[in-house]
Amino acid sequence: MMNKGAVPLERVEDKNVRLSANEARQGKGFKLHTDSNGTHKTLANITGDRIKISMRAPGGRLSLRVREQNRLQTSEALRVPLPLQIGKRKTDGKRSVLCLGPDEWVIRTPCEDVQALLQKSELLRDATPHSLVDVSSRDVEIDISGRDVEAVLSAGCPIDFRQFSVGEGKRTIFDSVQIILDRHTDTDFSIEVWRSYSAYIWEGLALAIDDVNAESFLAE
Amino acid sequence: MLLIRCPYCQDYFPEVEFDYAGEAHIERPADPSLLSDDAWRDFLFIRSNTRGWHVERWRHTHGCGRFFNMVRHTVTDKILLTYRAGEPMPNIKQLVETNT
Amino acid sequence: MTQSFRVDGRGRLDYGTPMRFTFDGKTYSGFKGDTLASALLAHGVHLVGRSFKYHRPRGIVTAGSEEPNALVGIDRGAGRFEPNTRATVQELYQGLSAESQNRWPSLQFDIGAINDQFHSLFPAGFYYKTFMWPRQFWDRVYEPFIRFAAGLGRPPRDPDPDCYASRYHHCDLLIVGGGPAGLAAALEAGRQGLDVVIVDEQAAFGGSLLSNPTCTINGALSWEWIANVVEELRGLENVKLLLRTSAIGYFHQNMVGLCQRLTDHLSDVPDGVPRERLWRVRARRVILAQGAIEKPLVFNGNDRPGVMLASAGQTYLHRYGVTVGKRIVIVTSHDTAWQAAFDYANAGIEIAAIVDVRPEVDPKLRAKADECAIKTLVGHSITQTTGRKRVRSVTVQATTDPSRKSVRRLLCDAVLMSGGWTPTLYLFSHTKGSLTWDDNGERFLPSETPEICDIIGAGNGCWGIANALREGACVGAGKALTDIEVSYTVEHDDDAASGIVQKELPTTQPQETVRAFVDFQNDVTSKDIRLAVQTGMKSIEHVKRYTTNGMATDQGKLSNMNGLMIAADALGVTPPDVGLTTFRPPYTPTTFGVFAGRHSGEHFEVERKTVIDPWADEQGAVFEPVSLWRRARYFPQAGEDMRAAVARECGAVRSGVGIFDASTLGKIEVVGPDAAEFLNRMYTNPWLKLAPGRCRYGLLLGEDGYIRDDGVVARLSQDRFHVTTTTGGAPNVLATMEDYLQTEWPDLDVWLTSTTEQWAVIALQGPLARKVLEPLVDGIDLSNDAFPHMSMAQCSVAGYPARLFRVSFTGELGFEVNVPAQFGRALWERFIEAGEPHSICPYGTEAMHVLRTEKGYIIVGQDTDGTVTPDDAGLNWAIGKKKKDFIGKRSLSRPDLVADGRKQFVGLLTHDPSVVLEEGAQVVQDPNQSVPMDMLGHITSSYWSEALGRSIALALIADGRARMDQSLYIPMDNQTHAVTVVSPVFYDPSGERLNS
Repeated sequence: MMNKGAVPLERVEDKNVRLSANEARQGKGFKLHTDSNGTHKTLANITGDRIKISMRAPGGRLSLRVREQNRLQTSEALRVPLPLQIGKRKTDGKRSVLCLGPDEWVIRTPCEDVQALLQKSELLRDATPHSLVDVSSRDVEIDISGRDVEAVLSAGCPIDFRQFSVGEGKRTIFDSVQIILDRHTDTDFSIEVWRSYSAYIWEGLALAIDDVNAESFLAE
Repeated sequence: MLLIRCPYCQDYFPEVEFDYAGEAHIERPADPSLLSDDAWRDFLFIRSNTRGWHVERWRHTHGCGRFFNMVRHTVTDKILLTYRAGEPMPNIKQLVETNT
Repeated sequence: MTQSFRVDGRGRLDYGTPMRFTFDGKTYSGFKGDTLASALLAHGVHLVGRSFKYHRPRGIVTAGSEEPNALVGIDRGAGRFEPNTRATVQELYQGLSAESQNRWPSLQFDIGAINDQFHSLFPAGFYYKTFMWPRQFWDRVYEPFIRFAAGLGRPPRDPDPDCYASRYHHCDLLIVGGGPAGLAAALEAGRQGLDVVIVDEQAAFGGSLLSNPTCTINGALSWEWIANVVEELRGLENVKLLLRTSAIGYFHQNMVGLCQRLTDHLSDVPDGVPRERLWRVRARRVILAQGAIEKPLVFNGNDRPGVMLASAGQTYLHRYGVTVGKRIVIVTSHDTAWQAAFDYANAGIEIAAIVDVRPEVDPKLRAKADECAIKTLVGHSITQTTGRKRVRSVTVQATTDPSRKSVRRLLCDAVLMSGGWTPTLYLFSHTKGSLTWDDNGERFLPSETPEICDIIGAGNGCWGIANALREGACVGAGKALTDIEVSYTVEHDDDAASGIVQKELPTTQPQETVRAFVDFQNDVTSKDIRLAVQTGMKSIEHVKRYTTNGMATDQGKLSNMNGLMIAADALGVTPPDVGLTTFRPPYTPTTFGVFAGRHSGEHFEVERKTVIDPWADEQGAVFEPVSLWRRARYFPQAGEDMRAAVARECGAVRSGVGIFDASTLGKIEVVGPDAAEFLNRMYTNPWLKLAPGRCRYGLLLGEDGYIRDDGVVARLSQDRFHVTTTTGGAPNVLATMEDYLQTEWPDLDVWLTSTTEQWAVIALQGPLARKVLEPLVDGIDLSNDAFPHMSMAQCSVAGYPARLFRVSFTGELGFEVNVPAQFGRALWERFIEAGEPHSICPYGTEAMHVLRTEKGYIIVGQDTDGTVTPDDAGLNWAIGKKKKDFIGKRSLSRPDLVADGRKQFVGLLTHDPSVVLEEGAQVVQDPNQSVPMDMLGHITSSYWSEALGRSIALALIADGRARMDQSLYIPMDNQTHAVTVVSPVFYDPSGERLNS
């Protein structure tokens, strides 16, 4: 379906951009960068020694809902691994699936897979009640990594990171906004958030980074 | 801020992930048209408003999204138990005795 | 000025780093490590403020955060002025600028001090009794007077330019207080590998040890021991040490709020460094090791500058190398103040006498006093002090001698007093912990708490450094107090000290002349408390409110216990029978800034923007907030005001084509074999027979029968619906649907997914809408016959995958195109380009409102208020008549929902067509009725309609539909407007345009 005119979000790499709180407040961190067509916009990355934030290139994303008794059948029909436990993630090639609730999974997959999955779902519909909805455009993903990542996330996220292991993900809160937080390695996380909240989250992260960076000054 | 055990996630999470949703075990009548005006009024508006152990609904809104039930003391905020929606109401008296 | 009160060889200051500062414009000097208070005292400055009510000269009383008197304004430059900063907490920095408060014209000469001369006119309850009558005096006389006289300090006028931070933190053990007990606990727990956080409100760890340099712990001098312990703790990765951090509140399940002051002690702060940080710490276990606070004695003239707590005197001497005077009198009912006298004597400062009100004291103390050649007056009370701006003398008298023969006057320039110690139980009390009265110590001690929390050291009534260390070590190691394994050898401990608890000190002075202060900050005297009891206040809560004792910003840290003892005496009951008032967070005054954290200025609240928002911004749109969204309200062209712009935008939609960003509409994808059945139960409308490719208006009620939300619902296929909701109602509708689905009908096979932000929605509205859209749509016949009103198709629009709706919220031919959000802006611009030949016109929410009002379409939340039924709103047509049940159906036959006189939705036309009524204005039948008039209802929507060339309004009016053509009235401030009741559909009532 993605044919003429469909231009994916462009990823802007601004090396060595470190924003102070004041710059952030003036909107610098959230200045929208316009690509050559002037149509697609994203945020400038923050790249520091101890922390990096960047917008992830758009990917395919589907919300799958199915009862436990139909889980295996659906998993096989869609050829998507469905982890059993809430908060666990399974990866299969370029595809990863996170269990968000007792009957809810989010499937992250390359954009070009989305239609195929929806078609498989259509075929499965009558035999196995389930719901598969394309939410690729609903959310955006922010990658956040570095030594200070837990401190930065702790600014707005109330969970105990000691209890949040690599390979896990969960829906939670950052600064009153609902997010899905994934932990990829000890120091690599990603935040999935509804599109219109992303600037606020980004701004919150930038301010949190200022706070964490202040530690080294204050330690002197 | 409370720490609440979600019976679906089977772990404790901070209160900001949850929403309160009123008294528990008030079932919508299968056929409301059979109810008298008074009975329907009671269903709509009359709640126990307990001072003490209260059985109430919560939702892990910003987590797994599920509604569940909780036994909480309305004075001390102590939480005795959380359990899944649809499970029967526990015997509070017994529960209190075994937990204190 | 010279620092003539410095004591050589004392103090923990960085003497290599001198600092200059100003107080009330005068320049002083100090050293790095000083507090503002210690630096002022180094110059012999005691007078730092005027009291709240009587404007009495006041000096520094304490050396910590419990300070009631020494409140000053600190000026850090533009926008950075803070009143009521405690000089005892404020660390000195280069160039600090402070000013005294509550004095006019100056600290030395304060006109308000006249209040003190007339103090007998201002007893407790003065305000309650005096400013009662006459009523009209309140606005003109009493309130302005009280407002001028009330308050301490001046509020800052500018927005706070500082930034603040906040963090969550999780740990195994939080230790509040870094004195000997806290440090010993941290050491044990840290060595065990627990995640430990230890906090102290001061700039250094050590607590009381900092004021006790001569004691040794395991052979090391106390300061050396502190340094070693802190070094070891800093070396442990699992231990976090936070200084300048106050635990301000203790909440459920061991959530403790901490305020960390980051930069108030620095002269130069780089941009972006937060001033304070709020920590929300969740600890598996909490140890409170906050120590105890010394009590003042209550005697005549106990508030003169120079009268201080004995322990504060020790702190200034040992920690800051400052003597509080050159000739000091000690007044006490407790052993610890004797040690202060010995310390001062050892430092070569003259002690005029130790006055102890107890009939007997430990002979060892007396012997030691003799050794130091200090005069002792045991069994003596202090009856009077002199000195206006600094204490000059005290008068003492034997307590057993009513004859005044023993009266003697002692010259002095400082008085150190001690009335014993109060365990710091504030945080413990936040946990709803219970207290028990300790008869021996005459004090409250901690008892039970529902939290996993231990309280140790002086806070637990445990005296002496060795004991505190042992308690800390045991509890820190997670062992019972009786389980003594770790032991510390302490020499020169401040030994087990004893004392007696006093009410006011006995005096033979005539009662009317006695001014013995209990609460320094609120100017409450012992007589005020007795008067309160006499007036009939029996509960401590009443005494507190009547006298304001303990209600100042220090929450009675010095005054509560003395007030309690006096109230108990006046009531003739024991202190536990009177009880304590409730302590609430925050423990110490806390800035608003730290509570706001990052959430100020631009980051105050979420502002959601659609993908088309940047385009609108570039076009110079004026925006308005709609729930959390910002939406384009109108698009003014050069020289246009809102009315002109909106008239132009409306005109374009009625005669040509308008384009509107409807992306904020809530969207829910309802999928599953039971999708139709589920919607049938939720909405008033019937859904089972809606064909795929068709839309229907849906009306959602609460179980109480009132309208909650509405929107268009399209059936995509047998098992899939695209539901839209109002912009503001989206989260609630989804939550309500989930609620029913999960808890009432878990058997239904249907699932809900929010797709609000998956789709950008562009509305094309107007008679030329089809002309713009048609060329861009592949494979769909958009003619009225083939694609009539309320049709829906999945297709490709300008090459983008789209869900195309034929719907209208304007009354014109209209389409809404949904495309995946990232294509929204591109498609919008494509439409603008394609619509150019048809003069396509972007319109905003204001024009949308005018257009829908012309058609009488309601907006849930504007034309309804949560008490409007479908019948009230004229929406009975949206109720599936054959449906047995849906949410709210049973309520629609409740007696009060079918009664006469309900407010119904109608249109109103003003008799003067140019008058645009105010939304919310009340409607009456008889404009001449006397006030209060009978209100018939109110205006819900009101606009200028360019299409009709007149104003129009929608209203909810009692029995409105029975009042068609009646004249009603809207009384406003200057004028009463007459209106005629009409149908709410003003424009194209037959709906021809919609179906064209």
